[in-house]
Amino acid sequence: MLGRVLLTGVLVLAFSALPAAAQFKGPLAKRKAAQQQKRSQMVEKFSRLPPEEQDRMLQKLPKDRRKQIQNNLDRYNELSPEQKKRLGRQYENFQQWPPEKQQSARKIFRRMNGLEEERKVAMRREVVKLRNLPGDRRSEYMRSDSYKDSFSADEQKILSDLADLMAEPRP
Amino acid sequence: MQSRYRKQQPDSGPLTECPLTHGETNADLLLDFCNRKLAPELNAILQAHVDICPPCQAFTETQAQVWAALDAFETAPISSDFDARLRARIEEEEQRSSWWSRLWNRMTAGGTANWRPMAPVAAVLLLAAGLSLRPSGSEVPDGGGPDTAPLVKSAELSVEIEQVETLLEDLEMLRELGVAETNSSRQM
Repeated sequence: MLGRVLLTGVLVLAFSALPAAAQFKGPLAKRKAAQQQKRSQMVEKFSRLPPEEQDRMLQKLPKDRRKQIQNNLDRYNELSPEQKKRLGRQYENFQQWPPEKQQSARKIFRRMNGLEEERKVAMRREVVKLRNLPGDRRSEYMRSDSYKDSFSADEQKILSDLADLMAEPRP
Repeated sequence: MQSRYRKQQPDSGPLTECPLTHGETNADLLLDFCNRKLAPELNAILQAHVDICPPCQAFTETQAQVWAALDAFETAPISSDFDARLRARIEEEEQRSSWWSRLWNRMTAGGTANWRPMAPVAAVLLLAAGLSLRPSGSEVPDGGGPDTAPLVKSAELSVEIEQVETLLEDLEMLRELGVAETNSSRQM
């Protein structure tokens, strides 16, 4: 008897919870956006951890990666709140890209980081210039002799791949 | 076994082959003979053979000795307070176990209560209801942002350091290359 009462109670509870649960879940896109927002806030959360806690988490990684994280974190923390917000928006856009395109961007960035510091500075400056040019003028500029004389074949390839990424329609 | 033997040896005919040297079936037959499991007529045939076959005689004698030894074996008598001590030990073990394992044992133990098989189903339903009722990510207060508490406990930060690493790399890339900038993000 007790068992039947218990079972009935459980079933009633389970079925009555279903509509409420559906309301809570909401659309998939909403949840995905919330996850992305949460992810973009990871750095903020990590940087607010006590130093000893950060160290404990970083201990899992090899020394060179720890150093790289620390450098990236320091650079991020040097940004003003407005710059952080702007970067956060960029990251949200980036998250909308297809995974393959995201991966291409990372590869290009790694190739660029493999250059000597002096060339990296010149490349960064060129990236800003290319970004601000409209699509047709960008292509024209990249065919010019002055451009070709300023960058090696490898550097031109990196810049060309980046320009392709920027030219693709945004999601 | 007897039927198999009969296929090889007609009921009325004499045993012409030694069971120990002609196949497993006949060896089993000899074992049955030793254990007095054969029908009387088959038993008589085997007995006639054993009387004239030294290896079978030796085999049956060895078997007889084994059975005699087993018959002579006596188990040690249990003490008079065995039952009482056993019950006390069981109670002691039950007291030592945690409340949930006692509950689990009671739920899963054999018995006639017809609701017992439903216990795991009820547990699953409760779990499903609990998970469904939990607010989704969009409703959870984030706790982040510059105005919230300055420190976040690591337990609350359920992320792996690898994710932080990737995210920082992505942010660095976006900061330097600005490839994901849109008009709205430039306005900031």
